[in-house]
Amino acid sequence: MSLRFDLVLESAGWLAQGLAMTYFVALVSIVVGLALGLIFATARSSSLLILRAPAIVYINFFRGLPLIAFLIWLYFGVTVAFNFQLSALSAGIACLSIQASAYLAEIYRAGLQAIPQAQTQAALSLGLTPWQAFRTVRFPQALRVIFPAIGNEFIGLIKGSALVSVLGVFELMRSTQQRVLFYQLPLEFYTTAALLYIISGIGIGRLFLIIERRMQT
Amino acid sequence: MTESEGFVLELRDIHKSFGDVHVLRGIDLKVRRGEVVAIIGPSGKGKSTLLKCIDLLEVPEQGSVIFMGKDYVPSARHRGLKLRANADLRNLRTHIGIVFQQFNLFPHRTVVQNVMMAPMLVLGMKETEARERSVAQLEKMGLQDKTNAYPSTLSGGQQQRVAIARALVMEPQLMLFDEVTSALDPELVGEVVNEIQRLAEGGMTMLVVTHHIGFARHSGSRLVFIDEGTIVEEGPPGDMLDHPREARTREFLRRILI
Repeated sequence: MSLRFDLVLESAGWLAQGLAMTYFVALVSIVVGLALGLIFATARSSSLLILRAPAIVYINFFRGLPLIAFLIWLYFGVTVAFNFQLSALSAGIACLSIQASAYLAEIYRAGLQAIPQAQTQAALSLGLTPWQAFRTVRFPQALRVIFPAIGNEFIGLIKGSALVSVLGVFELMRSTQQRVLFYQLPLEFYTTAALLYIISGIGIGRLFLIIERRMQT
Repeated sequence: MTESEGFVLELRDIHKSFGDVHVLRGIDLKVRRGEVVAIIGPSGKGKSTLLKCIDLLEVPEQGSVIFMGKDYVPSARHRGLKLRANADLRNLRTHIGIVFQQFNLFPHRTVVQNVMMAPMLVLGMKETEARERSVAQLEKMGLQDKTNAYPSTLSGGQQQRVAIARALVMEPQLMLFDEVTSALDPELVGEVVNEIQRLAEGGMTMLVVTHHIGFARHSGSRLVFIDEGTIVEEGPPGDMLDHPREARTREFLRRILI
């Protein structure tokens, strides 16, 4: 058996397009997830039951729902039943963002809890508003604590985005599958895709580590 | 704001519990402008809680905290739409400086940023002005080389002096010190006590919770002994340290002066 990685190399542009889409999906999802997650983390920690209860339901619902089930339910179930248009890309990003926000909400909560109450008290004692104390004292410190966990979540999204291929989004997995069908070279192409995912994960891990070190100084 | 009958601060019948533990059981205390009130007493018997109640970081269940003629407890208890109440509390806290046992500096900000934060966010100063004022305050305390350092690189004594500078830069009417030397190595206590002594001599009104009997004797205009959540005895420091009236005061002094 001779391996034809030369044909993989010829498809580099094609695969790069898929990889770019993978990064795009993961990046948008982490940004939306971080924003949504903070909202739900805040609601989750609220003393008001009317805010806390929905947040707990949201977090537990989307944390427990398998991503593939969520994707198929939204794209092939909800859109058809309620008769509205949603592109495969939008549906994919929506599912990834929502699931990420459920995880991130708990990550935020853990990070915020790690910051001693005394820090907030010191800020309030200077006359800062509770919001200013949160924004300038508690949150930035919590962000440092949870930064590695955010990195993990981002790598998780890169991997999770592979599932979006079932909706037909042309990301790395989908573009690889198409080449496999075209050349009939599953081993070469799937190996390449796997390596690209792994290298991406390592790269992102390193990037987060560098930023983390910068933040410590 | 007006002072009521010359008192900067008046506490009336302050009660505070945590769960079943009744920490403060009716504290009455009046503080005149320029007075240095030293508070002593056994650990865990409500002294720190009292200071937090004055700043309303803890809200007493009962009693009044009257600062410059206004009772702020109703604002702290306020429920519902809190804007007005929050503005009241900010006003109180802006005029009262508090320094904690554990410094509580913001570790993610440099020394000067720690000091600048409140002038900018609370007083609305421009960055250059706030920095100038903060650096001047730090210079007064001999910390000019440390302005751009992070708190974790400083000694405990230096950190505590930064915390004092952070409170003083707001030009408070009243300073609260909560066992500010208790977390320090013995050789670092002096520099912090000196700073507080200098403030006392400068006429700052202050409440100083301390185990430092020497400071209480020499810089205090009044000494207050708190035990079991009540004021057991108060009076001029010299008299009280040499001739305590109450048995509990005698017992406490005997134990700590051994």
